[in-house]
Amino acid sequence: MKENLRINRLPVPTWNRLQVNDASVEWDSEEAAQKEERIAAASGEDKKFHLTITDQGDYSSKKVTVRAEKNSSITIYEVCRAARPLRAELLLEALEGADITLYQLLTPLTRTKLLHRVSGSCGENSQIRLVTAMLGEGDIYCDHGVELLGDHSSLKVQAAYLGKGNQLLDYNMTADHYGKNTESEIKAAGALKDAARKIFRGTIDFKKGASDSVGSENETVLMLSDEAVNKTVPLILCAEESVEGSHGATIGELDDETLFYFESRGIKREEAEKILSKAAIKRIMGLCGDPEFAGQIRELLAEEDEEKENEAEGL
Amino acid sequence: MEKNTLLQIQGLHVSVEDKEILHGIDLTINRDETHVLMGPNGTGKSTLGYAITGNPAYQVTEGEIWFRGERLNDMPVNERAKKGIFLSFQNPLEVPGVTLSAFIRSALEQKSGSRIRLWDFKKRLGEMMKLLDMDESYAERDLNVGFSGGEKKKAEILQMLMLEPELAILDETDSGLDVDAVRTVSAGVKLFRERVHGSLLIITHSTRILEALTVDKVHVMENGVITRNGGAELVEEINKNGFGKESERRA
Amino acid sequence: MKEKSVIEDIDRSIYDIRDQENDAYRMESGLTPQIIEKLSREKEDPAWMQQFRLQSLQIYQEMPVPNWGPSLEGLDIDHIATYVRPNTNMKNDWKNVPQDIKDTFERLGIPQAERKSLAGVGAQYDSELVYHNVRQEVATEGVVYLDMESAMKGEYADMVRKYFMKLVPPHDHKFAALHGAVWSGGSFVYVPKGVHLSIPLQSYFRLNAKGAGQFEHTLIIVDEGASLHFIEGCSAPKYNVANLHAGCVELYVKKNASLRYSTIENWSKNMYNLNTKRALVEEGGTIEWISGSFGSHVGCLYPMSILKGDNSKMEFTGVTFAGAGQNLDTGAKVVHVGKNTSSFMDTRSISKSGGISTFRSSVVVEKSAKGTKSSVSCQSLMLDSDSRSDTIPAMEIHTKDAAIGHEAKIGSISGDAIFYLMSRGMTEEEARALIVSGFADNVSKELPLEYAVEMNNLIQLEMKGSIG
Repeated sequence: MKENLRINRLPVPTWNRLQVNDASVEWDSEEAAQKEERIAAASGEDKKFHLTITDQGDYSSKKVTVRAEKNSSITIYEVCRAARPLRAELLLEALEGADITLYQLLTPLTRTKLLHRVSGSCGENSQIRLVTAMLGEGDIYCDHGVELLGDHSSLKVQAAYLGKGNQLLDYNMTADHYGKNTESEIKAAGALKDAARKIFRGTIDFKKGASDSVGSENETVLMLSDEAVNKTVPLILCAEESVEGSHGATIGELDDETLFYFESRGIKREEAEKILSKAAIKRIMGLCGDPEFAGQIRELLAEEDEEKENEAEGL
Repeated sequence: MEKNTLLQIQGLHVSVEDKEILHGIDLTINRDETHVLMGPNGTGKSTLGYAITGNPAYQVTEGEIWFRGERLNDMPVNERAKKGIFLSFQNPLEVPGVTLSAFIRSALEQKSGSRIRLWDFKKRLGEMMKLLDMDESYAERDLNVGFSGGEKKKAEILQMLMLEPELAILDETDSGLDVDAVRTVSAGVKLFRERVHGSLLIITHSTRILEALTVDKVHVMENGVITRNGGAELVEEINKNGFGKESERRA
Repeated sequence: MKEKSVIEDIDRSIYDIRDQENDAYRMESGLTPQIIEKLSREKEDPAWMQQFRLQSLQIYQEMPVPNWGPSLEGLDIDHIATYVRPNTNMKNDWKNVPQDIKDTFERLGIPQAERKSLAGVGAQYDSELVYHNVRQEVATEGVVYLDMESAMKGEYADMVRKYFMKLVPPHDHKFAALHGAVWSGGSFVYVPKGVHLSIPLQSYFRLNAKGAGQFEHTLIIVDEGASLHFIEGCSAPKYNVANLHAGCVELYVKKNASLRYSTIENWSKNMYNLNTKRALVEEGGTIEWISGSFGSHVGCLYPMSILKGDNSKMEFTGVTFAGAGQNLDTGAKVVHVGKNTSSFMDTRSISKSGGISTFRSSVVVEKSAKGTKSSVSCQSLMLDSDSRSDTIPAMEIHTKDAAIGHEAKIGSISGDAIFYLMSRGMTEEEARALIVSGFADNVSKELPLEYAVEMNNLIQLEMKGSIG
């Protein structure tokens, strides 16, 4: 049965004409066979997991529950790769003093769609980190949200993308501040070429009682084509006086200063754009600390064959 | 033009946002020469560096720039760089997501027009970094991001040594009193001259940075014009008497 | 609720006449084509305008209330229907005007003669005389300044017809349609080519006309190379019995012309302020909006600029102060169409004592708008944790040849700043008031002195909690 899902909802709607209040996606629920998985770390443990969600298994929808007990630490390398519609949902629970870091590579391989949902909650003194790289050719819908329930908990989000072809990248991130002294940081950066379309919705929501909390959002979009369409909707909602909230967004093509620096080294504009379009994703490669994960990203960035050869030989 | 002439500037007038900064500059730099451009702050020295490199924000309203027998005036920035002109910035930009190594490699590939074998490149890069006493971890760090002033300077000099330009313009207008910067630049210039045999145009307002260098020609710029030309002895004079007396003398 | 009792006390003679039709009338929810026709006839509208009103009414009945923004539950459409009907005696009695409104008049030093007019008591304020004098003065500079009704019938009738509700058509949204049906009063201004009006034109004088201020229509055309500064509103609270303000402002800035539109708005705290303002800017033209929003129970104000011509420009400077019982949803919208256009927004908002302030913006850059530069800056100050401050900006870009920047900040008054001021002898209350005044200076410094002074006085009063 085909249903019409309304996902990626903006917490507070705005003018309908802009068509950013939510995303409407068709999903064939009959086809969807769901599989569930559990990932956990016991109190004090430090664990690493590799999680693969693909269309090659006997499911088209996977739900993963991640629970980090008190003072434990979980790092997950998630690769979501599909040539057919795929849905993934991760529920993250970080208990007191715990931290969960989720590195994600979301890559629909052909003109298909990937629906990805993350809901997290943080206990006192805990942290959730979401590092997301969006690549590939199909449409990606990210509906992510974390509730900072415990005092002194924090959320760090880094999202990078390279939109190409006719891709639709629909990213929705909400940080709900409930506890005192909570902190959130949302950074999104990427490039759009060809006729790619992208929506970034980022919400920092300071609920009443979340005193002395800090939230910041930042988006940098490099526009590389006139057929690309960018929508940015950075929200800050606030019901608490003693907080600090800020957001910034910079959208446009390569700025003069950066262009001049590249050109002064003999690198012409097209080449500079090519290099910078991958920059945000490369940064994630550099951060992740896992060669296998980084390797998969590198492959997708389609580095030249010669280099792969060199790599194999030289290093 | 003589075969030995590398850079020739004739009657150059340069404006920024409709305000004229340089009012007729003449300058000749030959192969394998080290030139110094000195002068009080705000006189247009950096402007000359930008104009030679071709920064579009600096408009040449009159005059010519010739490099290796070719007229540069309408040539785009990246073309000039490929011909062999390099500018070391006094305050280089941070470019997150692009590593120092990737940046240099890309520049080298643009210049040669073909891919460069990774292994050879990394070997050479490592060598240069060692010579400059630069920690090799910087190669894979994002270009200038979080680099201290001294590290940024080293990164610029490193690029100069790797790209092997025929003419390197070093804008050192901020470096005068920075001990580390002075050391880095001296080392870099020495290596450059030994290995690349290129020419240099060092732009500065302090003589400190020149103390360890052998200088061929010195030019003094004041208020957008070159007021004096001379040899290394000019440095001594300025050291002793400063710029002020010279302007007075001129007037 | 306070408002109800006031309204109930109002003269109800009109209902006596309509006794039998009362029930039927109520079921029709107040606004019927017959009422509109009667209104149109009383105003001696030209035929096209009567037609226009009726069409607008139909659109109004068909359109839904917006599904976003503040709730409009308390809006009393029935009463509005009654208010706009011709021959209505619906007016206030001075003794029924709420005390806090009277106190504000006192504290702001509003002259006695003006108070009754501001309170909708329908007293004869000699604004007619002042208005007449202003008209004569600007006429010598060639500027046409008429009330809308006259403009629609005299030598400018064709011009009015050409432009009326073309920029904000009735189907734009429900309250634009309502406006199209019941509009009354307002100003028509035409500045001929090359004329630079030396004094700001003020609309304050039009207060005492019936329905005035509530459904007024302002149409301003600044012709090529001309310039105008137009000021509407005032800091004194305007109290009206029917609680909706659905005005409409249409501004046409022609080639190389410039228009500065300043507003200080302080409708009384029972009002729903759903004003629609829009500007169309041609090549080389500039529109500057200066906006201070202090009043209303609920406000939805988003002046919109369409930068149609190449090199056209928009600047928006605003401050919004939401106090107890207020839900002010304000911001601005801009659409970049021409090449090398630019837009700048600098808005500040203050929330206090349970007030809700929302900044809502939209920056749309069409594919044709190469060389666009847009920069939006929004700052919000929360004065306590009973209040709310939300920022809802949106950007939609269809070309790579555009440089778009946006930044927003929200926070509270710095404890250090208060400490510093108190160490210089101020009380905490005075210190806060001073800081908030300073915060609002992006607007006050753009206003003529007397308005700036009034605005600052208003802020002082709001801060002292003596109002609302």
